[in-house]
Amino acid sequence: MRKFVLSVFTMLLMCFQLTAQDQHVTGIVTDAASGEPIIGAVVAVKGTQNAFVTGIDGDYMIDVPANGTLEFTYVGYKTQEIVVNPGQTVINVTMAQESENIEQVVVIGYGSARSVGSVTGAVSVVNSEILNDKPVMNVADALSGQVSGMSVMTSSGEPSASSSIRIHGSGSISAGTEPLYVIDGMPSSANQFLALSSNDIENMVTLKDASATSIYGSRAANGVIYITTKKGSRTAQKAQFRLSGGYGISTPVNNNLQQMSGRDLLDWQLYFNEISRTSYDSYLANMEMFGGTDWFKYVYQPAPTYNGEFSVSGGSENISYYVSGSYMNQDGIAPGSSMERYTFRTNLAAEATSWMRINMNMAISTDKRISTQDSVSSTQGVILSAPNNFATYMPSYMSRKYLTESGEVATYTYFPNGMMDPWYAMKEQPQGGYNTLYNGNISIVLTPLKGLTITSLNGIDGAFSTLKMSGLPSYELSGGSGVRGRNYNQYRTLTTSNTIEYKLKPIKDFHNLTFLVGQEGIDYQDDFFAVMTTGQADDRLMLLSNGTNVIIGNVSESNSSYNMLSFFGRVNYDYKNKYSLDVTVRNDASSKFGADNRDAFFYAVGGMWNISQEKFLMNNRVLTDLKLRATYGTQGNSSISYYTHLALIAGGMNYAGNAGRYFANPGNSHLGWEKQGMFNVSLELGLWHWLTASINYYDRRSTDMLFDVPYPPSSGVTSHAENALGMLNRGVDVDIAATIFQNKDWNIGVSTTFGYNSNKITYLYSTDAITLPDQFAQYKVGRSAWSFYLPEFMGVDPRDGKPMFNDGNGNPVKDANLAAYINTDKEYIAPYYGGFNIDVRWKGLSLQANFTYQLDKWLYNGDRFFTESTTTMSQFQRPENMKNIWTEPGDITDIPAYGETMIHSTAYLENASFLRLKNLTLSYQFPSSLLKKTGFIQGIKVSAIFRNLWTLTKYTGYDPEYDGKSVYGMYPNTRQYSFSLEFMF
Amino acid sequence: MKNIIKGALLLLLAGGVAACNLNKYPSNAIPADEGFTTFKDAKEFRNSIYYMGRSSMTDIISANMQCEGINATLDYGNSYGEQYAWTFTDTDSTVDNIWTNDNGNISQINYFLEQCETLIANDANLSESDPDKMSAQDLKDLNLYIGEAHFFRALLRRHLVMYYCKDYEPTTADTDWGIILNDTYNIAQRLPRATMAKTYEAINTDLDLARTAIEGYYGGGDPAEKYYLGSTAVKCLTAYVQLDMHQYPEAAATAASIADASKYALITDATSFASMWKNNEGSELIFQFFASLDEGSVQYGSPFLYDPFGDPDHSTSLKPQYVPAQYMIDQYSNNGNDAWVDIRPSAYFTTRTCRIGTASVNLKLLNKYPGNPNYNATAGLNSLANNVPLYRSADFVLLAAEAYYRDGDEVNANKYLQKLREARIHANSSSAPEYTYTPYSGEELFSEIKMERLKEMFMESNRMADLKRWGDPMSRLGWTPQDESVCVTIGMYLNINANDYRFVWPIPQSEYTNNSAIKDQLNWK
Repeated sequence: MRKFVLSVFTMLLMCFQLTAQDQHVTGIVTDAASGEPIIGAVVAVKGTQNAFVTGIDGDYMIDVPANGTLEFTYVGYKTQEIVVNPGQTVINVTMAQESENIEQVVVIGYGSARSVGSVTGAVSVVNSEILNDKPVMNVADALSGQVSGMSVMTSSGEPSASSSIRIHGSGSISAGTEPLYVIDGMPSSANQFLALSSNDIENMVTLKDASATSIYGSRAANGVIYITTKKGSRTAQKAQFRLSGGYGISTPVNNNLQQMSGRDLLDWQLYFNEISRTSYDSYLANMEMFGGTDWFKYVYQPAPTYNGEFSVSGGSENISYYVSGSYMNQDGIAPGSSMERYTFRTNLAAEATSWMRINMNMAISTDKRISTQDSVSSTQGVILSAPNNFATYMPSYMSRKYLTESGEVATYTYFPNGMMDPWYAMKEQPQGGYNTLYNGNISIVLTPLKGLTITSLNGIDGAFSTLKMSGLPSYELSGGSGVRGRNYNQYRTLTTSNTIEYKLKPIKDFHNLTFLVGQEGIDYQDDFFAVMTTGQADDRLMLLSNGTNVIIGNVSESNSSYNMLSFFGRVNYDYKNKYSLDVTVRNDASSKFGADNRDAFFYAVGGMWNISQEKFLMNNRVLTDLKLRATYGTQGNSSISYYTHLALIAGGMNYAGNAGRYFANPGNSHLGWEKQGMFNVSLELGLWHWLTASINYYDRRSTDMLFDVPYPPSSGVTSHAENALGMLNRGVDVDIAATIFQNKDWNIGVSTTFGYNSNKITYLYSTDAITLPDQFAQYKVGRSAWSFYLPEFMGVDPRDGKPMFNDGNGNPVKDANLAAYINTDKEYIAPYYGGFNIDVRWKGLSLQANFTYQLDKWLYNGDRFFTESTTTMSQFQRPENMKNIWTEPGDITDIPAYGETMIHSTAYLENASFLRLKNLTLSYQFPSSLLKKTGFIQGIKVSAIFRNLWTLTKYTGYDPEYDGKSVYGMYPNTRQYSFSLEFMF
Repeated sequence: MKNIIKGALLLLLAGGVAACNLNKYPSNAIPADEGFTTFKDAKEFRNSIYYMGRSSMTDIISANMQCEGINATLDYGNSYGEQYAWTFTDTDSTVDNIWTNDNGNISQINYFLEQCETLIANDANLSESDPDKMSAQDLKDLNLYIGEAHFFRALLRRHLVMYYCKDYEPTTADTDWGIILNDTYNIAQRLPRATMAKTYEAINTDLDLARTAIEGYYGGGDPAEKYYLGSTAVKCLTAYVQLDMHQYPEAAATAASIADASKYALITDATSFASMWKNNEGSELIFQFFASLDEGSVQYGSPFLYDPFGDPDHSTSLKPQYVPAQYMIDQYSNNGNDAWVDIRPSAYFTTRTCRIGTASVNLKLLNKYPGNPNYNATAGLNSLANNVPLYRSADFVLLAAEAYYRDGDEVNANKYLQKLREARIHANSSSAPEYTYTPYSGEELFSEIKMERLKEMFMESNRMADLKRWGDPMSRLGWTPQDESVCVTIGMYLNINANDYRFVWPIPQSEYTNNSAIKDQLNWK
């Protein structure tokens, strides 16, 4: 704290020395060839974060300190630097196309914006075009296959579902694997990232290597995603309006699980005595009279999506603004699942004085979400497993008709197996939640001296959410008694981050040095409580207070918090744009760790050699760009629960109405950070002005990895948190982009990303192997942490129908207890992944296809384990292949005889590699000549967007894009057909 | 300048939220070194030990699903399926849970005993004026709690033996594997199994300490509330342990002293007998764990009286997962003598209309756990929740008969068998003759005692432990179901030889994969 106070005072002192005066500059940026205005060119004051984007007429307005330098950049054009002379107020610029310099200005953390090409670290930029207008709430989904070395998977079709993101493999087993999200300079929660309206995003920068990430210290081990939202420009002339809306339909992606027909299933069940003859006759009569049901189609029905957005951006002399609002409403394909969201954003920048700029970025969003998982009772299982469990010969509830044993038609009550119709179950057990998220920061930027920038960014990131769950008394399974549950949850993180950046005046015009020092403090708190009462008697009186009973076990509360205090610094040296060196240091102290291990120090060194600037390559016509980068640095992972290191006695386990207490956690005061060392080397090249490629090799070593090491129950605990193991991720990413054909009307481009990652455990702290057979896992030195550890299924003995397993020596055994677990070397995290894009434009028409793939990915098909088992499930639906069940000696089949126990084994391990057309976008931009006649409409764009339109896979379950080890009763991924219309005026 | 100061103050204010305090503690727990320092802390820990004892003893149903007398219906949904069909492996959740819970609870008891020692030692150094100084009564109470902890450790260790060890044989006890004996709280310990002899030695040491403390506290009597341990409860466990160890004269004497206690007289009328099961009260009960709506009632009845509509008391479409076998029900018929009536079947069974598949059938259902109305989550809706019973006198009347028989004292064996039967069997009407007991001898006497034990303790005591003690097979051959067409064929007539390896459960995978000290002591590999 003392250090912090000192640093604030230091800043205070500096404020008194402010002298310099800014001057106001306006102008127009045009294309040198056509004379047309360039929209979206970046005009930046060199050495500051002060950057603006040109408007529809190529106009800009910016405040520049005396003798400041303006930097003009635009994708595909040569960057220009212009020194502003005193008194100069208008600077018009013509920019020349130059495909060799397709660079972009990005902010990568704490400090001024830099052009991508000058950064020593590995960063990838994804622009708004890829992200905007996608028919899902979750903006991450569109990133799939877009960034080399980054795997993005969406496991569920639930409208509120998120995606899992991994950069350069997965660096942790039990701590978090999510990257750090930084929104406009403020580290923010993953929820906040999900709450972003995709149209508010200017670009997303993925920071992949140590040089770029180490400055984020203990939260950077999984990489950083830096999101910059759209900003206004200070062209006083006019505001720019954007209005868009869309409509879409979701349907489930293909279901590869083939179910037996109703008639076949009845015969099958009768044959194996799962149903009695009486039941058989009754079911058959029912089916013949009312028809059976395709439960997959019945449960998962097409559902609509609507969305609408508006934004206004612009500015005046001292103010620029971007204001937006969006609405999105997506129904889930499963019963009782939907999400409706409103977002609002205000980004303001004010030049308060010539030496002080104030930026304010405020976002608030609120959503109402109903997710099938949150149900008050066990309906989740009923709904998501219904297509696997419900017999195809059963009529659905909708008909409510039922044939009694005496042959009369009666009103249906419930399924003979005691299960409820999923739609009815959700109707009678409504539940829904509200989430409100807020994220705002104010940054004050002081530029008291030339080259000196003092920034203080202070923000709040938080949310509160409530959940209401009811079981109505009218529900046929309630016995006439209702149940009501309420959850309330809130969290908030306060962040203060204060930096001082000083850019030295170039020495001999060649040596550029920039220094940055900073401090960051984080204060996190959360609160949760949940209550449930029972005994409500009327569907219309369902409040907690309408209940007649409350059980203490149904009341819960928790609060937790953590703090973090950090100091960091960076030095950047650049010589003639040819050699560049970055050195970064950071120290973090966190309350999540034991007193013995509270502080952690991180550093990184990165260098870049721009070979194409050397004499021997200057003006080379083939090799137009060549850069070599190498970086090494350390990061940490602190995504663990907050109190694991403490030895604790907890209250609870009461007896006879008297409070109890027990030894809840033996603690581990040595528990420390999960550390990571990362080495990257990359080569970037440009050929013939139309092809760019980069190849990057990385070596990512995690050490002191946190793990709940399994302990034998006889020790008193079943696991204990330790810094137990080390892991290596090593791999290569490749990016290739090419413009195949280009002329006045046509532009055809292709690009591809490819990633390869190999994973292995490098050491175990206290044992030869950590074995978790129930998780299909064994962690052993030299083996991949993601490889399946399972008994090997060796088929069914044709003589007696018994399943056979490998005994560990390659011999089949029929006793499941003697089956040996083996390392299959098949991994659930795919080692090969990537994507490719095809972009075809002709005049106003454009077609974009984004493909994503994962290869050598394996998934345990739990749906099959249950539906094919004749000992754990009876009287349920059976898949078509169960007709192949062994019945008599000589039968050659993979399905053992009825009643034989099948254990978890490789029999259900499937190749879930896939190639998927993630997004296909077809759009048409009306020609401006036509629109000019309207007088005020500047742009109209119509688009058709198809998500998950096509998939190639061998996996026999619902969907291979499930990120996990085993899957049972999942919410299938969705396919979307969506249409949108956009106006600009 | 004023604005600069304002701006700077703003920064300072915002910076004020910055993290300063890096020592954070959760709101639901206390640092361990502050959580066990006074008598009050020990008293609260004692409550949790009772809680843990209760949680370990809720295995009544699963322990009996392996045995005779019950059939899975077509709607059983594989509930208890691995036990019923004997297909469990060393990863089975029941096999794992019992091992894990009992060992975890024993380890908490070890922690409690160690902390109590420290507490007493520290207390001796406190001055009389110290507010934390224990009073004489506190010390007396603490001594009781320590005794109770020893009782529970013995109880849990024998509980583990019943599942994971062979029956105790005096001749091989020095080489047969018992359980892992952890006496101190130390999570780093990796111990092998002790022998059966050492295991029972440890159980007896704990029992002796428990006996001294509990008998001393209550002067040989019992507390007023049946949910706290008294001298008789210690005797109950002692009787079992003595019988296990083939100490027949001692077992007979201990069991007889419980059986003869007038305080725990057998119930003789049908109404009170049924009320014992429904309301969990009656003179026979010696110790049962506390239950209430908020804590600790268990839905033992749900596999037998399940109603999908949530109202098992009024349903005409119950969906039992398990139903008693017809052969089991027939055992209460007094060999067809209509003049007599047994009060047990009317309490244990109830005829209800069920819906199995689509078939509507009338079946006799197990009604031993019919749901205590006091524990209903919603008034008027039966939650099928009851107390966790542990000891009642009928159990020990039969143990006395068995111990005397084993000791070669057929007269006394017959005496206690007769005592039980005379309490349960009565004249059918006022005109009918009163029940008369005919003494048995030899093998017939033993088999009558065994069958009486099954009838009395059906789905209550651990029958697997009985079968192991007797060296009997588990055979459902001849155990005709009530209605074959609504029962699954798997396991219906299952026959397991007495020497089948599955009589001893496997050491769970979670133990042996993480404890190399035990690798040569696995039961199944």
